[in-house]
Amino acid sequence: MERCFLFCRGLFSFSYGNLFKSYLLLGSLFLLMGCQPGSGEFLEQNEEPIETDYLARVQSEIFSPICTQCHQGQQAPLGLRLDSVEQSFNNLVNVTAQGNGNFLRVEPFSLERSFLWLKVTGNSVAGQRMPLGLPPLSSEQIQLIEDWILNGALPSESQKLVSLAKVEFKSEQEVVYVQFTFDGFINRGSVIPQSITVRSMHKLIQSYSLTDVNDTGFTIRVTKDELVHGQLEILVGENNGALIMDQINRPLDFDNNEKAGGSYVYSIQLER
Amino acid sequence: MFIVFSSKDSWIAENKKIVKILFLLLCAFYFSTLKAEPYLSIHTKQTCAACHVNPNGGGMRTDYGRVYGNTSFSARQGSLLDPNIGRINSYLSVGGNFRFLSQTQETPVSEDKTSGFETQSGQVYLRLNHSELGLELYLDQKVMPDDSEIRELFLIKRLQNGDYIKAGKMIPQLGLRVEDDSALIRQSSGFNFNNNDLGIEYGFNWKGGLHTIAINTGSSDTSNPDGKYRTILRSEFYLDNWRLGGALSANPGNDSKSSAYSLFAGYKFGNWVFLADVSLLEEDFDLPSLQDRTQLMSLIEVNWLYRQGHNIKFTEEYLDPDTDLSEDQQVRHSLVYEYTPYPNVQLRAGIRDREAPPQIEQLNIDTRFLQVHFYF
Repeated sequence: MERCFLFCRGLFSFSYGNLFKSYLLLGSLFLLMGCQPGSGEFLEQNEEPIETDYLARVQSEIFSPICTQCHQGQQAPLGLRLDSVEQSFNNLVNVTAQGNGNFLRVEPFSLERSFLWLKVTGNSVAGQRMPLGLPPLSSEQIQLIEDWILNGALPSESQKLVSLAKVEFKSEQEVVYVQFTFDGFINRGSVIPQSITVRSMHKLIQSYSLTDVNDTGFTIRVTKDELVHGQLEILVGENNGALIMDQINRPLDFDNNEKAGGSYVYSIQLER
Repeated sequence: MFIVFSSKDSWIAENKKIVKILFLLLCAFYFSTLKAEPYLSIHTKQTCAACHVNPNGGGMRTDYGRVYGNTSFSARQGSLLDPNIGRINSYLSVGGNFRFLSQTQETPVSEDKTSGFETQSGQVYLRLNHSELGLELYLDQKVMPDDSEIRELFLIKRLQNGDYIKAGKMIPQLGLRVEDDSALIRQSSGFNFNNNDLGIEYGFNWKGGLHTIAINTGSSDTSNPDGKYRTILRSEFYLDNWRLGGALSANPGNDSKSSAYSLFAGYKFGNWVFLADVSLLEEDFDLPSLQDRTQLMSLIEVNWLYRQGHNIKFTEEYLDPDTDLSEDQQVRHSLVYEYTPYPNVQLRAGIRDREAPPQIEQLNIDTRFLQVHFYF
């Protein structure tokens, strides 16, 4: 009884002079309490992924609605961004797991070697079960991840064509750099000397070097001594021995005509 | 173990020796940090640095923090642990924290009622202090439940005017650093105890406030793959019963740019403490497959410390994951009771109701939890 009295006295212990402040604060609290969750109208605009496009389904049913509560944007834990099918594929498949270097985040065709699968199934090898702080994935959701991995953890067919976004030039005392940046993820393995032609006044330059080959582009380094009359020309796309590809091995859209293939020639005349 | 501590107080009083032994046994194995509690900072009208070694709050406690915990925080002042137990000598001290959780989570998915016990967190920390030089090495090491991992490891140089410079691995801070990492302002902003970065931070006192400038990798990764750096500016003013602050963060990357803004406030009113935080997160993507996105999140928390050692916490949260999409918002309501019967031991029980669009069943969660929290 005494405790009950103390409890009530504590609850109403503020003075009338401060009532306005307290009403203001409590009022804003009740205003927030009135907030309701959305009806999910935005979801109706989304297209249903193709049944066999497992990554697109994993993305729309698991990664986007659940995992991106944390794994999105620049500050995604461990740099593991799952914002889109491109990001998810790029950051998961054949990438070494940071929690345990003996595993890949996703190893195609192998559940036991895929850290993602171990994480969502709560295997003690993988530490804390994902999704962290949320209920475990349902058996249907886990089955979908299994289907994706056991079918080779392929990229999604829904990925947009990757096209050339910008070309930047930089000149230093002895060398020049030309940086090609694409608007999506490229297949790094396809960036090889045979897929690029570097020339000066029709003379082929074979001593150039490929530097900083990353997920969305590469840089070509040429020494100025190789240039004839300071002219430099770089050809990417068709008419080379090989093509630079995207994650699902489609040629990039080099001429920005929304069709795979084509070519692009970058040309510059250096001041003498 | 959990059942033992959730029993009536009288049982604890009668079996004090057993409680002590069990507690010391646990402490022998588990050490970790005390996570920050902004409401306590406002309630005591003290800066975070008064009780914590880390000026941003959280983690190992200072001598004052230990004394406060032993004399003014718990329902009963006890001698369960000597407040200086972690102090090895004037140069070296250790500390720890351990959270053990029992919870039930329920979603509309029929099979998704899950319940169980788990070790929520466990960290060990260490402080190497050279007071003459004003130089300290601080370590916050997670030891469980996952693999061991350094959460924070930095060198801090304290200047005579109260300013400081930190360099190393740190947990970045934007708005209020509430203890609950699943709070929407913590989870969705990425500014939480699971993310840390390498960098430097300079903090200075000016006009009754603490102001910090931090530059870090901004990648929450062990490396800095994009080679670019995030800048965080943060100010927090201490105004008697009020606490007002703001922060902004700019984080460029290879294929996107992230900006975050936060306004936060606290107010002490008798034995009530109110907290509020509104944060905005903008992501600008260069990749056409991703739409630019702006997230809005907010929190209002009411703490009622109706008796020493007892706190009732009510929280309302709001999240709009993409302001361009209609009807995608989420809300969360929480009611938590925190009982600190003795120094170094806290029991927390609560309910959290998270509501999202009904199609996303996994995010419509009713959570009931009980937590035992040991720290020193």
